[in-house]
Amino acid sequence: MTKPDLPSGDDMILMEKSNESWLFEQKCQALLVFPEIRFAGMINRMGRLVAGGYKKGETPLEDAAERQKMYMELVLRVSMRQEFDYSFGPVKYTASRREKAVVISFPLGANVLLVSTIPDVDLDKTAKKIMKHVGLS
Amino acid sequence: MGKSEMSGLVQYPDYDKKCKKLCEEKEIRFAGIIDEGGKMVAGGFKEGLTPLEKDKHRLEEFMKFVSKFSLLKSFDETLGPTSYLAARREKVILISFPFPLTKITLLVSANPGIDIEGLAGHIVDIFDSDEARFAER
Repeated sequence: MTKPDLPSGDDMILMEKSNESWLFEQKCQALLVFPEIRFAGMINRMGRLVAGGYKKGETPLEDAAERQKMYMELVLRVSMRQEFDYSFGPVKYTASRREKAVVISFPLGANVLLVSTIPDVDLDKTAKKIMKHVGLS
Repeated sequence: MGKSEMSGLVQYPDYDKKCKKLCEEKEIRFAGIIDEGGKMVAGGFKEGLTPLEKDKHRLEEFMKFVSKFSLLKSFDETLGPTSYLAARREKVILISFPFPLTKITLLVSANPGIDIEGLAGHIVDIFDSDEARFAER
């Protein structure tokens, strides 16, 4: 009797990564259902968008190059902030309120969940809703 | 750590008064003005309070970090100017308001139980009469 083909170590890692991406995509798509959310994306530690994106039919405020710069800057900020976790406690979320948008980021393991909303939202309520939806609270 | 220990000079007496007024609030731990180089030039910690970051050098590094990122104008054209940046951490809430004309930043820290929007509104009520950045918007 021949042994069944078992997945190799590399295959297992690929399967795990694929499951993780699928899960991230589901989380982002679930957030995009909310009318106030324009963008929900998962950014990896290299500053690349690995799941999610803009809501269908939504026109991005920034171009692709600017978006890439934003992801890179976000990852840099997150890593620099971690230096102060010991004193201030870990970050639950960070946000910037701007004239045309509210941008909120949530550290999620090695990745960052980035959400952009319309400007007239209550930051705390929106952040709480997102955390509950993605299983962070 | 008080202001005299950090810079030895109050460069903005009006802001210093407003920072002190903010520090009278029960939940506010710190209210200070930081210059472009990350040096505190007005305000300070609530009297009798022990900072969460006890190491003076690390606290200065943190202020440099806050100033650097608060004054960045990277996405102002597309997302509009920044009203404030906020971080909800386990032990504290941090909120910073960039004053781009004078290249200084107002940094406020508060106990984590309070609402960021409410805190931001209160800070604006106290500061907005002086700063032209609000008129810019």
